[in-house]
Amino acid sequence: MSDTPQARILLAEDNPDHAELILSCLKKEHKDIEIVQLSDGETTMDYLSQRGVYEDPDSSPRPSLILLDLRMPKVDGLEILSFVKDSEDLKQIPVVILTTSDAEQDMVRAYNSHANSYLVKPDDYDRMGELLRE
Amino acid sequence: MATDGNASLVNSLSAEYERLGLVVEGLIAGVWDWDIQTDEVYWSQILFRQLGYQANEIEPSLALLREHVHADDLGIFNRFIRDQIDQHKQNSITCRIRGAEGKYGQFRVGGKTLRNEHGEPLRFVGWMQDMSQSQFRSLVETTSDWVWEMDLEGCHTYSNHRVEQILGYTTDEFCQMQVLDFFHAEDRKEVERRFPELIAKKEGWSNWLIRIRGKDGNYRLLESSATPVLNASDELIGYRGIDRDVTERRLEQEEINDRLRFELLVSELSASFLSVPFGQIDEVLDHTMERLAEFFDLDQCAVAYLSPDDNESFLTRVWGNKNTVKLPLKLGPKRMPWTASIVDAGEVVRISDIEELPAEAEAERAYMHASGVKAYLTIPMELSGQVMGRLFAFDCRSIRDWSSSEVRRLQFIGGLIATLLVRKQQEMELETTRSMLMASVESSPAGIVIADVSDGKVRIVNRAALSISDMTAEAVSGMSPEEYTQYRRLFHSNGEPYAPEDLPLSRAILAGETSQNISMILELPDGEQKWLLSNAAPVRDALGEIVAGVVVFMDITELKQAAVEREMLIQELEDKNAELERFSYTVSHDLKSPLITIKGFLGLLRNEIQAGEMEKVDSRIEKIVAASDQMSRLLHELLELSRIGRVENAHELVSVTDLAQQAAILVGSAIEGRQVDVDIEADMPSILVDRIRMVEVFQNLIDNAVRFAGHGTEPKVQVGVQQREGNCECFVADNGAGIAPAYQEKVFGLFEQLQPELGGTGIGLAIVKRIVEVHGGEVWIESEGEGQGTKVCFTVPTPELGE
Repeated sequence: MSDTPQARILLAEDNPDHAELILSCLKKEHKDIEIVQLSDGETTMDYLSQRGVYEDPDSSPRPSLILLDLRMPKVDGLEILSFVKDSEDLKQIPVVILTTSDAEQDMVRAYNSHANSYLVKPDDYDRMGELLRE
Repeated sequence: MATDGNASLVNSLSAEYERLGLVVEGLIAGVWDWDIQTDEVYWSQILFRQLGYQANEIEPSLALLREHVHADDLGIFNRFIRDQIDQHKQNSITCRIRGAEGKYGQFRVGGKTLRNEHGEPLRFVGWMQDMSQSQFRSLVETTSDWVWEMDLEGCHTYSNHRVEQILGYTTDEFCQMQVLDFFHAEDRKEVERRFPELIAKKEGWSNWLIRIRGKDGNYRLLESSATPVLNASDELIGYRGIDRDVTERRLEQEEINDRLRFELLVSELSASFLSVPFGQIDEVLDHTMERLAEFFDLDQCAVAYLSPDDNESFLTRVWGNKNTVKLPLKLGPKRMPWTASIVDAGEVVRISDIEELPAEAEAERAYMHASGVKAYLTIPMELSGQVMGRLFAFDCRSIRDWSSSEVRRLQFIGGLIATLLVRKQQEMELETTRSMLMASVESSPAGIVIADVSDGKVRIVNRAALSISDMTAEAVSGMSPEEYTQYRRLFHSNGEPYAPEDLPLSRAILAGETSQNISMILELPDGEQKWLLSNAAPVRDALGEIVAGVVVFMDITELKQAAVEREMLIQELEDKNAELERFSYTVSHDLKSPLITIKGFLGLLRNEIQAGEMEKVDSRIEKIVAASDQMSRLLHELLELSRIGRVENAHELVSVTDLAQQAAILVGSAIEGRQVDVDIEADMPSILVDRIRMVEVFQNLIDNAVRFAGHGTEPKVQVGVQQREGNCECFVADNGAGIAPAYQEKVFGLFEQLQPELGGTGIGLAIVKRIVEVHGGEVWIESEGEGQGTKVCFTVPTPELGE
């Protein structure tokens, strides 16, 4: 991250309201970060694989951190996580799961798929800010 | 010369010699006197006669005497005289000497040497006696046979002393008797018949068996032989004969014959006991009783076998002579208690006359009177010292002294019968065991088939086996496994047909193999298939040889079906459980989602208000309200979903067209808002459904279709029926974006949304699926991919109409 002037975060979140809240938290804390927001799993995969509309690596650069919702239409978060961690190119990128689910099975599966962190979305806006800061 | 010599000799004789001369003349023996020194010889008158000369007819000499001695005996004769002179002891010799008629006769020769005072021999005096006469007489008197002579009148004129010993009469008594009077009547008849002929022919007889009554009244059996006696004129004057007492010999002979007969009986019975076929001991016992009655001259004969448990006779066989037995015998412990108590202790009961039965044998007496028994014998049948039963012998004709030989023999045969009774008991036990086994086999719920090893054919087949194979006992009996497979096809559990020799029963018989838990399929002629579970094993005899094979099989078709059903139920439950888990998981997630939105924005709102940033307040509140509405809709629809299948309305017959039109009205505002053309096919068939629910199905589908169709240039929704035969197949189609095959099944899952931005709850299709399934139908999506539109199809079973 040190060699990049700006931290680039990929946010994969299908719920626009949640995405807005997260963005609001992140922007407040880190004015200089760049956030790529994608609203479903399929798009996220396209972006990470740099295909379709994301073919150009200059306009679709590799993120330095991925914030990943688990439940998303078409391709869910765990599939994306596995894809990232199985890919030689992508597996260095830290992946933080950010989800409403506090189900143990989700957490176990996420860590088994080498998620770097697992965050449960709090129902408190300030608390969400604290979590993201960490 | 002899006279002169004699005179000179006499002169020198002592007085002793004088006396000797007198004795010599008085004897029947011929005497010669030889002067050793002068060689003069003197012959007595008898000696002249003995040698066939008139007295003094010829000059006697020792040489002449030697001429009469048989050439072969001359050596003995000369040695005898020399030995006498030389003082060798030898009293007399026997030698052949030629007599009066020129014939040789046996003579006894003896002698004595006279010596002087110095012991020198002076003379030798010899004597010779004709043995023929004396030997015959002594023979007659010493023989053990009775020798006699009789005249033609039948009176005995001579009889030796034997007659006293044989018949008890003195010879004198006997000679005065008319002997025919003492003949046994039968023999007298025979003698009187044949005698005239013998006399006429002047013939004798030989080895004639005649019974003559002795003085004691008992008959003696004599073997008589005789020759005729003729006078000088060749006239028959009587008979001379010899009778031998053969009474003892005959008795011995009879005893030997009797023994032989008994031995034959024993060997005959033993043979029949040894070879008695299974189940035919009673017949052999009956035959034995009959043979015993015949042999021992009985009127009734019976055997009673004692039960080893209570000593009661439980098996009896009786034979009776129909001509002499008044009442058929019935044996039981109560009829002959006294007899039984003695016999069972190992003692023989020997009753010669039932009138002599002791007082305590009251029951016996009454019973014997009633059945006409005069005498009876009861013998314990013993085997290795144990009384196995009682053997009865009855005489109904007369009182009878049971001889000890009869008792011994019956005891012996009783022992033989005891071995048969032991076998009978074993047979009965075997029969009981067999009955138990057969009852078990017959009542077994499992099919049992036993086949013989000799020809491989079925010998025993139980009811269950017949029922499982749906065959009759007549058809299966005597059938080989090959034949069976022609009537009923058998398959391995993998469906391959069985070769007859591979059947478990065949393998047991042919190779002695034991099979366990073999699953196979039996096919009946009507095609019905049954699952069988089979065990098979060889049956071996005492020597370990395979004699049969047995197969035991159960119809496990129901078990198999139950197992399959159970598997299905388990699968269904697992599916339900998984669904429930998914449901609760997704519910919690999706309910939490708007909550996070609400609280998140509330937090944001508060921060912004505190900071005085008021420009976004309205949009924030709008988001909060929208999330609250979403949550309220979610809760409502979840409630709906949970009601499906639980709360059921009455089914009614309603046309699909009506249902679709009602639904379209409910979706009305959305249709108008998006300007979608909804085409509902007219005259669609009627289906029997829960009307309210089915309207819900169409409402959800049309709502979805309208929403997706809305993106196209000419949004269009079509509702129709694509199959009327069988189950009614309805569809709701749009010309929107379509759904990729990967998601076509997924969309029916709860809260699955492909396009959350379209404002759905993710419950609609789950509700559709649920309602269709509750109605017994299926739902699926037909779409040729993105941009090709979406067609949701579902079936509803068509009701049977026209009844």
